[in-house]
Amino acid sequence: MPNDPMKTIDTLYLIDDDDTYQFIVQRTLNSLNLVNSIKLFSNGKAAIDFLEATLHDIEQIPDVILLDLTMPIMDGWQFLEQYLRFRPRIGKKVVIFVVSSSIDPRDMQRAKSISEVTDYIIKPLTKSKLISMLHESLES
Amino acid sequence: MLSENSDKIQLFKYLEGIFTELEQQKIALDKSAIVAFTDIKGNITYVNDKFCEISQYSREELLGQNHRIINSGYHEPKFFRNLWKTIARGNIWSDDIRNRAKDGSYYWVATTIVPYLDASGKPYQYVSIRFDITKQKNQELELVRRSKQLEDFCFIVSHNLRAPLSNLLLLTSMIQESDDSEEQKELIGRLVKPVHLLNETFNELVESLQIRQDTDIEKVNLSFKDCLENAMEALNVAVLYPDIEVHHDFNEVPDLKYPKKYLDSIFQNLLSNAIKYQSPKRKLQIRIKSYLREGSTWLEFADNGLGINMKVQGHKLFGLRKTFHDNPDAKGFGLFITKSQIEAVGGMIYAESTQGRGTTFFIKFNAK
Repeated sequence: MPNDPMKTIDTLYLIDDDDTYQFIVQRTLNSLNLVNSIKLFSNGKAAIDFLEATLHDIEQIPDVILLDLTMPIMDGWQFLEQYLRFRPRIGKKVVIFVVSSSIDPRDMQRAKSISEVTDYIIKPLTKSKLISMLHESLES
Repeated sequence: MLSENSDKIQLFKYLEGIFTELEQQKIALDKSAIVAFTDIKGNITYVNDKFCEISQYSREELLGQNHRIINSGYHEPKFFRNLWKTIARGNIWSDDIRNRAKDGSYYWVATTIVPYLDASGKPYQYVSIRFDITKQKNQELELVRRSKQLEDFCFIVSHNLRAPLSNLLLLTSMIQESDDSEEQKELIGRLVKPVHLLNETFNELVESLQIRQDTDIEKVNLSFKDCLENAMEALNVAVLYPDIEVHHDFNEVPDLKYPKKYLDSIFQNLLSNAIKYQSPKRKLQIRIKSYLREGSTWLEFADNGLGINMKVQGHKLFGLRKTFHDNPDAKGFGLFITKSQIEAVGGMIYAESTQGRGTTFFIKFNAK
C-alpha cells in the first residue's frame, strides 16, 4: 500500500499494438485512480515522436512506461534504443516496465540488461500485478 | 663358437618375431585409421593411404607440406595453440577436428596425437591417428540445429497463443467481477476478436504440424491458373484490393501433379505476403510464371513491394515470426508453412529481394 494515499502517478505511457490489451489496461487503471493521465500508442514510433515533441514540458514526460516488445513500424527494442538517446535530456525519473507475451529467456535477459528497464512482466498483466507495479513506481 | 652362433640365431629369430609383430600392427593400424607422421614443426613426413583417400591429396602433394594444408578454419586459433602446447610438452592430445579436403569439402576426424620422445624426453616427431566421424558429427550438428529450431518454435508459438489468451483471461475475470449488465455486455463484445485470433493461430499451428505427418499425401493434376484464381478468390482480392495487377504466364508448364492442399496454400501465402508487404508508393504488380528447367518444374513469383534487406532479414523470411496485433492476417506462420510444404514434397524455395524494389520467390517443385 502506498505510504501516502493521495500520491498518484501523473503520466503513464501505454505502448502496445493490441487494442484489446489497451482497452483492458486502460479500464483497470481508470478503476484504480492511481494515474492521472494515460497516453496510448500503438507502436514505438508514435510514442517516441510524441516524447520528442514534448521533451520541453516536464508535465507531459511520462513517470511510467508500459512497453510491449513485438510491434509493427517500431518495436519495443528500437523504442528503448531511441529512448536512451533522449535520456540525458529528460529531467525526471521514468520507470519502464517491459510487458510482453514472450517467455523467451533471451528476451528477458536482453530487457534486464538495459538499466532503464525496471522489470520484465509476462502477460497477462493482472490487476494485482499492475497495482504492485504502480506502487513500486511511486516508491522509487 | 657354436654356442655364440646359436645365440646370434636366437637373437635374430627373436628380433624377427618383434619386427613381424610390429609390421602386423602397422598394417592393422593403416587398415583401420588415418595415420600421419610429422616432424616437430608440423611438416608431414609420412601419410598412409587412408589419409590420402579422405583428404583427396596424393602422397606427393602432402609430404613435406605443413599440416595446415588441411586446416578448415573452423576451429579457433586457441584450439590449435592448446594442441601444440600439449604435444610439445610430450603429452598426448585428443579431440575432434574438422578438416578440409582438396575439393573444399569438410570431414570430421576423431584425432589422437602421440609424441615420439627422445632419450631426454623431448618430442622428435608426432604421430596422429584419426578416425572418420563425419557422418556422426553431421548428425550431431543437425540434431543441435533441430532442437534449437524446436525451441524457437515453442517460444514463438507460445508468444502468439499467449497474446490472445491473456486478453481472454483478463476479460473473463472482468466480466465475472462486474455487476453492471451493460458493462458486461460491452466486455463480452470484446471477447470476439481475441477468440478469433486464438482460433486462427491455433489452426495455423495445427496445419504446420500436420505437414510433417502426411508424407503420403495424394498428388493430383492441378492447373496453375486454377490455383491462382482460387487463391485470389479465397483472399477476396477483387473486392478488397481491386487495384492489384496480377500477370501470369503458365504457357510453358500449365499444370503440375501436386498435393492440392499444398499448392492452394502456397499460392495463398505468397499472394497474401505480397499484399501485406506492398509498397505504399506504387500500385502492387505481381508477375507469376511457370517453366521447366533441368527436368524440374519451377514457379517464379515476383512483386514490386517493399522488399527486404536479404543480408539483414533474409534468414527470418521463412522462419516463424512473433506476430503483430493490428495485422489480422499476419499470424506469423505463412511462409514457414509454405517452405515446409514445398520441402515435404522434395522441392525447395528461395527468395531474392531488393529493399524498396520488390521480392521474387523461386520454387522448384520436385526434381525428376
